[in-house]
Amino acid sequence: MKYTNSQLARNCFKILLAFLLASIPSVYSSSKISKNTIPTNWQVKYQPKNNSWQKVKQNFYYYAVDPETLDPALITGSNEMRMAEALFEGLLTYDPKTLEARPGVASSWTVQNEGKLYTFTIRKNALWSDGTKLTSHDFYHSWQRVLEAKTAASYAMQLYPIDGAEKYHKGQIKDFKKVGISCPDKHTLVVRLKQACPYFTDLAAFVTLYPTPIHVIQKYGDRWVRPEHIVSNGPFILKDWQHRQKLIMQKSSHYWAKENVKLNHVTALLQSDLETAYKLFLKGQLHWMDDIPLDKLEELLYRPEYYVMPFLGVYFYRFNVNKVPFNDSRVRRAFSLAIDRLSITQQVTKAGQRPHSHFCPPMNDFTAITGPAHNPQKARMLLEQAGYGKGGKVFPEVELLYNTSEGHKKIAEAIVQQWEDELGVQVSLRNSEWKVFLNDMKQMNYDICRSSWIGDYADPNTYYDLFITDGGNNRTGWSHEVYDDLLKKSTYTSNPSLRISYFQQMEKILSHEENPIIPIYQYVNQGLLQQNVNGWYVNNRDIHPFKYIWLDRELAK
Amino acid sequence: MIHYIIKKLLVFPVTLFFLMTLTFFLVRLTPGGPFDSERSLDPVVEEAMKEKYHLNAPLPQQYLHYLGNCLKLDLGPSFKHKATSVNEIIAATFPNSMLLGSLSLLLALAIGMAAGIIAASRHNTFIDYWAMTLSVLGLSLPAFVLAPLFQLFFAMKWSLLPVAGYNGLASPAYLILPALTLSLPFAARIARLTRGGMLEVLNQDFIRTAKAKGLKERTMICRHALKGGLMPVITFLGPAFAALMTGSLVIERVFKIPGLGQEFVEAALNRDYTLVSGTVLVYGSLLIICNLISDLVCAWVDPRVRF
Repeated sequence: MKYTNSQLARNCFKILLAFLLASIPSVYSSSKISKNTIPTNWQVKYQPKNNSWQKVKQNFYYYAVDPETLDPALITGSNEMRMAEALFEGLLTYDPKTLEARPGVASSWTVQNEGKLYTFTIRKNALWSDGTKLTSHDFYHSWQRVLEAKTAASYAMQLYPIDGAEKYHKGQIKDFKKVGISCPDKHTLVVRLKQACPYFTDLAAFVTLYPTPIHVIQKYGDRWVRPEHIVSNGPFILKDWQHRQKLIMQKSSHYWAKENVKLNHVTALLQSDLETAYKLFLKGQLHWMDDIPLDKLEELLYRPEYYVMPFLGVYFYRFNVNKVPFNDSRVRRAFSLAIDRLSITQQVTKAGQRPHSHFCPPMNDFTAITGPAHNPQKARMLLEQAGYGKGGKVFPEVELLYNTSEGHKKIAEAIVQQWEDELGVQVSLRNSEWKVFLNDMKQMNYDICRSSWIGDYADPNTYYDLFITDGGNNRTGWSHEVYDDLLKKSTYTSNPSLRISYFQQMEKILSHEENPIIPIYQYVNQGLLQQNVNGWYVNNRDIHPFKYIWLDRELAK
Repeated sequence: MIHYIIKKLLVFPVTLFFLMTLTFFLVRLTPGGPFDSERSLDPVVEEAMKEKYHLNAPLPQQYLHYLGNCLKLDLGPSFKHKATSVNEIIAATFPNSMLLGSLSLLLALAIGMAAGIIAASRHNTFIDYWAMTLSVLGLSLPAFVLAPLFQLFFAMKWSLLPVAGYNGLASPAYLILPALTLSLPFAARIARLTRGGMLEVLNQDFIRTAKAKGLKERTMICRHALKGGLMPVITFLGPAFAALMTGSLVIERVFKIPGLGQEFVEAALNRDYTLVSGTVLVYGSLLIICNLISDLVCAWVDPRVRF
């Protein structure tokens, strides 16, 4: 079901990242200096056990879409992030399996002052692909560039945990020296946070915080990402980028850990048709496609190359709480209780999506309290209490809005049928083209509308933050004082268990009491991976860095 | 004649101007903007983006700005492909569409005319019926059915041709299936037009005279009947040529051809204002030029046609 709202949507909002787990022990370990506790063998663990791979041509081909840009400051889509991850490297990187923070350009880091002060040590052998040294000043200037309004970086908010960053971005302070970033020397970067941010090490591995070659950007402006100009610092360099044809990345000779990079070339075949990609895969011309043609699902389930894994994203419906009848929370709850989510995931979406009636999907150390179970009887009762049904008011005409796509349509039809069967209410369907749909949602020109959310980082905050009063992504008109207060408290507390209890209370308000939304299921990621691919690991954010991947034999023709 | 050409050439820029103006305003009237996404944009960022792409000025001012750039042949930056200008996108994709379109046109003419001539000369025979039945099939089978079918048989089952890809004339194997798919409906039309045109001529007195004189059938068809019979085909070629050159979304996607067709459709879906206007201008120019050429060829072939 996912991605059916076209690759557009997929580019724009399918966003990954960040992990709570790795940072918590270091962040909250009191006021004294805590050094990161990275197992020293982590990198060795992901190396091949023998040398057979050296006999194989290490050229990797994968399915991708023409990137909008390769400028880390401007990237918003997972397709672009994957390419940027090959070309660039941030202070920290993700462990390919556990997604915990691992050293990148920074060889180590310390956390002080109750998680508010980070000191990163930049490795001395970090180089740009043109041979110039990469220093802490590169990060300073790159982050300044992200925060300058004229750069128009959609993900500038990833830097907001840094003291003064938000104010600088909004033009409230003009002097960048007042922002909590400083370079005592070339190999030290000190970052002062507004308040403890348990997921900051994960942000430090995120694309927006990658260093960008200011010396090149100044020379070429927007066009610096073209293959003839681009300079990067990652395991690969950009060799060629042919519009809508292919993008070729080549192993870099300047990367500090180049000995561990095994692929010589990574080629993204810039493709839009999944059916064709599937045929190319069957012909052995693609090693990996991160999506499948949905109508082939039944056939693919039996292929050994098929994989499916849970993904940090939620499929849900929004209510317009400003309009009758959904201004009444009892009606909203009734609509949620009447849905049999299991039947939706088993009979409609079919790819192993996890049905749930709570909003926030599980992530490492946080599992939200379970939402209310399917209960049509209680649903009818609530609807009656709200004054509808036998002898009561006539239920007004309402519409369910979704963006045109076969997948969304099937889900909507099934749910509307359940509402009719269980509650006896008629809900009509309305679909519109993607941009028109977005516009209607923004203007709140709907009764119920299809939605989805993919977390910006794997902390519950990226979910609960959505429904703050008048938040840009709220789009339901819902406002709740207690909820807002809990959200604020969760941001300012440095006690992890208290923080989690705040999140649980918010979840209770969202899915048990107020229901401005109907959560339906958690997304999965499905795709195809050739069996000669190694060093590719399952995780819930679809992050598979190319620097760990190798091919162990040629594909049989 | 010269008069006619000059008149047409003078109207050309005026037509383009109206086309450009209309597109400029229509695309901005459609709901939703280029920067809308499921995630709301920070107002600071939205403002900066509008500033960057001159979208925060009053509409008439934006229009004049765009018009000025158009006169300098600068179609502006693409909103979606941030490191690429519209000029570059058109330069990168249009030649590919041209190449594929020209090949398809040749193929369509070859198949269509051959089928049409044979059908006409064997009027009301088994061959005629078969040729016309096939042409109905060619007309009615859409590309999204034909293209995957061709792929399935020629590439997957028999491994004769590559599945998809593009490398210009350097690897002509990639071009065969898309050119064939693209040409079939046109070939079918051409076959029917040729047949119709020729039948009309074949029933005329001068043909009967030629026959009576004992002229060989081949000479008669090639020298006399064909010339008159081709008139409807030539009229059809103008728009057909334009349609083939502008590419087809389905064929480009299925066979992975970096052509202008999918740029145009995706630009519209993305509300990439500059890219929409740019592609529309290219299409418009092409259509006008093709029609003009087809008019000229008509006049040249048939002395009865005078402008």
